[in-house]
Amino acid sequence: MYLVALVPFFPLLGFVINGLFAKRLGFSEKVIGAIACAMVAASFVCSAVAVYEFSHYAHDATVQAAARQREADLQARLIGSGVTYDAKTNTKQEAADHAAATYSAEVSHEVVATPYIVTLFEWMPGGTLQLTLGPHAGQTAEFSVKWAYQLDQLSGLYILFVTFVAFFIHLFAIGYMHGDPSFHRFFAYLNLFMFMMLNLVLGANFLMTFVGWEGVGLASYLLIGYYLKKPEAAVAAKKAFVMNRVGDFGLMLAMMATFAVFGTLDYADVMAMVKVMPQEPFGLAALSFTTGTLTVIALLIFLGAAGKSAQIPLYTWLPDAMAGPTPVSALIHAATMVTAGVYLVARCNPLFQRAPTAMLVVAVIGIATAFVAATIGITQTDIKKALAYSTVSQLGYMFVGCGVGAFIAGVFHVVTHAFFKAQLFLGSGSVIHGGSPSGHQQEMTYYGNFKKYMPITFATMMLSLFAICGIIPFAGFFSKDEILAKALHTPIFSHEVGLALYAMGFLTAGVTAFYMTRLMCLTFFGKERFLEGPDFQDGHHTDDGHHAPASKDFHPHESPPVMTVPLVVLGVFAVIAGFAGVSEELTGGAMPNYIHHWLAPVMDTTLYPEKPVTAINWTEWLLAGASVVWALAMMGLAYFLYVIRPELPEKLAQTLRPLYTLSYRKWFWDEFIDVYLVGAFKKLNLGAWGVDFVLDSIVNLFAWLTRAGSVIFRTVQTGLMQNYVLVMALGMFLFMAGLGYPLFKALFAPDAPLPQPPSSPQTSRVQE
Amino acid sequence: MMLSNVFFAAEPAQLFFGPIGLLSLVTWLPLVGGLIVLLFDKRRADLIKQFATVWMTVCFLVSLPLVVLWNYDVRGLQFMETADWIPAIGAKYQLGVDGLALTLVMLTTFLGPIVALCSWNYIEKRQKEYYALLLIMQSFMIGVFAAVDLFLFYVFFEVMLVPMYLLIGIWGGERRLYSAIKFFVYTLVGSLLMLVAVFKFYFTAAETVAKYPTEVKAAVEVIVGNNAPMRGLVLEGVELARRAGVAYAARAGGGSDDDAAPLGTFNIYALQAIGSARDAQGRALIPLSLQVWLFAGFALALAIKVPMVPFHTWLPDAHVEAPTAGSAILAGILLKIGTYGFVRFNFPMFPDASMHPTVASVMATLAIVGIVYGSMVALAQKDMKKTIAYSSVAHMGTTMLSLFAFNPNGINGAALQMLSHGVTSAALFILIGILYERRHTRLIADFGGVVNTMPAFSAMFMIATLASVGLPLLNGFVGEFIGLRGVFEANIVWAFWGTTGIILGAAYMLWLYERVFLGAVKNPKNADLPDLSAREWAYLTPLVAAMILFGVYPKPLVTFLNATTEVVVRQMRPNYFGSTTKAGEEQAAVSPATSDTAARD
Repeated sequence: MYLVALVPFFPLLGFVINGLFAKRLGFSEKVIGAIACAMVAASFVCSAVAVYEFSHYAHDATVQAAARQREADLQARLIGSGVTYDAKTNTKQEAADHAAATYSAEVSHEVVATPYIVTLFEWMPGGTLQLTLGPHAGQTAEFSVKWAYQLDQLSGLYILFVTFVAFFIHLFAIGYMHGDPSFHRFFAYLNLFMFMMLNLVLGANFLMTFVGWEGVGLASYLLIGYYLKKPEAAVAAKKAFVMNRVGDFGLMLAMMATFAVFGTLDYADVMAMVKVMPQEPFGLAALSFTTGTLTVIALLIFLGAAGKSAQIPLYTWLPDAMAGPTPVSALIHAATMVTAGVYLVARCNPLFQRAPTAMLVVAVIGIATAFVAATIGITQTDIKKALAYSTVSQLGYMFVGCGVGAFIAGVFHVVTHAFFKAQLFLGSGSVIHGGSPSGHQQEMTYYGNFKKYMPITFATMMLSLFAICGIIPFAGFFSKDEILAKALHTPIFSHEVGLALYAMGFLTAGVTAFYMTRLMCLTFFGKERFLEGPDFQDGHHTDDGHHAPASKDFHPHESPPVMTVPLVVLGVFAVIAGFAGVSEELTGGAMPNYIHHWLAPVMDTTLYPEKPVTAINWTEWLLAGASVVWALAMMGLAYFLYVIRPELPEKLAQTLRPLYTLSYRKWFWDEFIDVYLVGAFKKLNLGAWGVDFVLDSIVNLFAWLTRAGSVIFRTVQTGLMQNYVLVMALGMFLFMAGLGYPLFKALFAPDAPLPQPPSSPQTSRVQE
Repeated sequence: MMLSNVFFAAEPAQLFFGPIGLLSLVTWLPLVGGLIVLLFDKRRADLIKQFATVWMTVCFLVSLPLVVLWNYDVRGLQFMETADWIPAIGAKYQLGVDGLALTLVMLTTFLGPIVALCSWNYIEKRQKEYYALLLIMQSFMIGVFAAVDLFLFYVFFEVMLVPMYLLIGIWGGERRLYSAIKFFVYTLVGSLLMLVAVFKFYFTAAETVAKYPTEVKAAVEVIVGNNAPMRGLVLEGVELARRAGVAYAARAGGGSDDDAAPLGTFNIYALQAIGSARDAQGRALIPLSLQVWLFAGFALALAIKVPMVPFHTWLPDAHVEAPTAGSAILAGILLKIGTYGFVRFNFPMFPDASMHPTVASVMATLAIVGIVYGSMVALAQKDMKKTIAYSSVAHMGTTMLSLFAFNPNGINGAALQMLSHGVTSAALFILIGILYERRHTRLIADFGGVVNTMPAFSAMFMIATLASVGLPLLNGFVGEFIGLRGVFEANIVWAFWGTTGIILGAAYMLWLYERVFLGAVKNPKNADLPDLSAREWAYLTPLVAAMILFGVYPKPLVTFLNATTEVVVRQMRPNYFGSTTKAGEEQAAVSPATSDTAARD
């Protein structure tokens, strides 16, 4: 299990080798690609071994007992007395029973989390601190942050799918980036990203996660701006970083507040302690550090999550981030990095459960984002942007899952989404790669009927299409349906709220099916339009300058095997991944819900205990059937509009002008931020500079006054003896005139006492 | 107080070469080098450059034993030296470093060879005088941090202005005279007020200790802990002050005028003990109203140095006009003297005034204004150097805000920020200097797409940029987070505003980077810029290495700093580390800035 500590460092090694030496030593593309892939593969192998070992470790009776003891100790420390776990009564036999009785829902909340923590060194010591919030306010603790990795069920799952998906995306990138002048830089950045991502999920405390959190932000910045000569890429990169910083601002404050309540940032300690804290009130009253400490912390964490996972209001960076190379979009902006927010919320699930107000915010923001992004997706013509909005929308679903208390469903959707969305992005990469002579055409307007030329891409993307639309039995069906079902039966909010969330989610699912099918239709079906593209026009410009129009006998081509193999593998997983988490409501327990049982120990069930499932719930089947029919109907509609009657969408857009504009211009939110908010801020900055000028002028005024004063006195210094004598005589006269009268008075009116000489400053001080 | 009896005796590190201690050597060696440079033939510029650089490197190597020999078990000063200097007023030549001063001395010696090496091409006239001044300046800066005597400190503090004035005034840009004079006069005005405060406190201290000798001795124990030689040093100072105070009293009472009586002490730690001593009721010995005036006298001089808004306007001019090395030294070291002064003088000497709610909120508000406003002005700049100059205003605002949290996290964080800003901003100025040497312009609009022609340089600039915006694993983040966490403990609203700096910082730095480095090359003059030369690699590598090293492993720095910080916090808030929770402390923890003072009043 100690291998887990090595997992992040293989990609770091790859980053160093490719980043520093590849160019100097003149590595070929194959060598660079092989190094990068090998490092990720090594991480995957280590992860797999570590997780396998952990699965045994977690059910070991002594480990369970020790974890329980530790948790009880921590909780006792927090509430002062009372709850202490009696280790004596829990005999070994009893513990073994627990271990044997796994995979039974009844026991699932008996199995406690047994994080396996590897501490490498003390990273940030900071001296003593005082707790200022929560039940322990006034006590002191030590600011000490360790460089430590934590393997538990959640991080184990994450490192497995992250390294797995990343390996295939790296492989794909070897083909996609072929011929790029700074091939080594690309793979160095990708490996840097992997290092940071693995730090993010493996970090044993908030701050280690934050290292990865900001680190993936950096990698994302570097990779979005990878095409150095594209000015819009540079702008998008900066936008992504700064917007993420807004979220990180919240996360930093959340960490400070966590310190102020618990005196530590270690997940294991914080989550154990938070379990004995009472649930906070629901409503606006909880929005203060005094009445709702946990609520505020949870909301601040969610601000960070919303930045990283592109939720309202911080989502606009993600579509812009598509300026980066397509493998980057697949890896960072679809499969892994953007799901970090969901990871963090799931990681903090005991905390969120005690803050129902925050849960409602998470759910509402999630569903709103899902809906808004889906509606924007309908009118996008850039294939990657459409996919980006789809990602934003799916992330919204994940947050709905977390918000209604179904953290496992949220995480499960992360996993299935990683497969099918990575596959879709790589598929779009394959289309972009082979769809035009320049290999950079992303406008679906210039695609059409590619199924004839790219059969593998087409077939695998169809699998993912069914997955994302939620067609049984593809992966997306199980995860999305579980989220919707859990939203309907949420124990946290009232039934009406659950129903509203469900209805919105159901509606959005249909919109998703529509725009995704539209994307597929525009690309793979219909009339061939690729010869109308700008590559074939005279005098078009690319990054490298002027090009002659491409020859008209161009045909789109299928990508090489290094690119299609990842498509196939991920496509297969887009089909089968769902079976890992089939809801037991659907099967009546006939088929275990592996994901659920695996993640159960890290999910807190003390507030909302789960009811064991004993029989098939036919209502669930009804709901599932309804969503499948709904999705199929919307897919059919899209096929009808874009393949059978391709002239209709144009007319529809004319008829529904306001709606179309709203969607096409992205609900005006991008414009509001980029034009009004940033514009006003720039004016404000200029104003601040003006204030600075005023301040400086005040300082200079003193200098000027001195100089002006000197002008007067300078004129007096004429150097003429007569003048000096005159002034002297004048002075003598004034002195005499001034002094004369008091002198006269003192001499001739002695009744008035002479003024006392002032006492010396030294003596006066002592007298005080 | 409570800890005075638990320490066993431990000897602080020291190293003497005959009568000269290691710290004196570190302090004066650069000056000797400067004098040697003056003997050189001015036509042999290459030789002068090489000599100055080598000498700076030697000075750095000589300062390394300070760290190597450091005794981690001892609190307070090490490498102490003492000699009589001006007996008439009781000023002594006393040197010594504690954890905070040591790290700042090391920062100074570390930057020395770098600023010498980066001037090789930039300085084209009067090389001899330039390098001589650079070396002399180095001595004075080290002296500021190494001085244990307030008068000695003040002398270094003032005399340091002269070489800096000349560096800006002779080798600066177009408006060099204006900037140099502004810098000089502005700083001087502040420090003259400080001198008044110094003397007022000097007399007050003597009177106080004469009245309350036992309380002051208890306060000395808090400072010195187990450090026996330092105890001797400080007690000697206290005794001098006490005798002086008794003499004043006698004189005031009409007794014999004893001319032989000493006039008091300038020993910083003796003065700290007197300022931080409390009577049995926990009240400070010096009345609050007087403390506030003294605080103001010191604070104005230091606030100008930091610089805090609204006393910052000398900084952009001085930074922009100064030669690269001058900017690097200004941003890297000179600004730190301001914050160092707050920790060394204002906090321990006038604790009640510092922690007075009004004073603390005024200072914190100015710091926050510095963060937000400095960042916003940085965003509006057209000149690269000015952007970095205003970013210094913002960063030093964060540092000041962290200091005024008055808790270990805040002060540790502030000290870490001082060090990291010292490295990062110096690096940024040096990097801009490299660009200026090639293009002779610093206007952002003249650049664009530099990454295409100078990839290695751009990578270096990227790392420095990221360190400046506080990316974890680079040095900027550590101090920022620890410091702001301390601020959160003191006041959540301050922490909120302080943390906005991370957004604004990212905005102006990355926007600068985007406009200068990214995109296609538009200006043909940028099309064939040569990338880094071997010499440039040589001085950028240590800077970048330091950024990464202390971002990944800041523990050694914190170990040094925390020793000082704990003492300062103990002096200001004697109950902070108390493990027992009293009933009243729960509120105390919510707003420490107000409560501790309130409890004492």
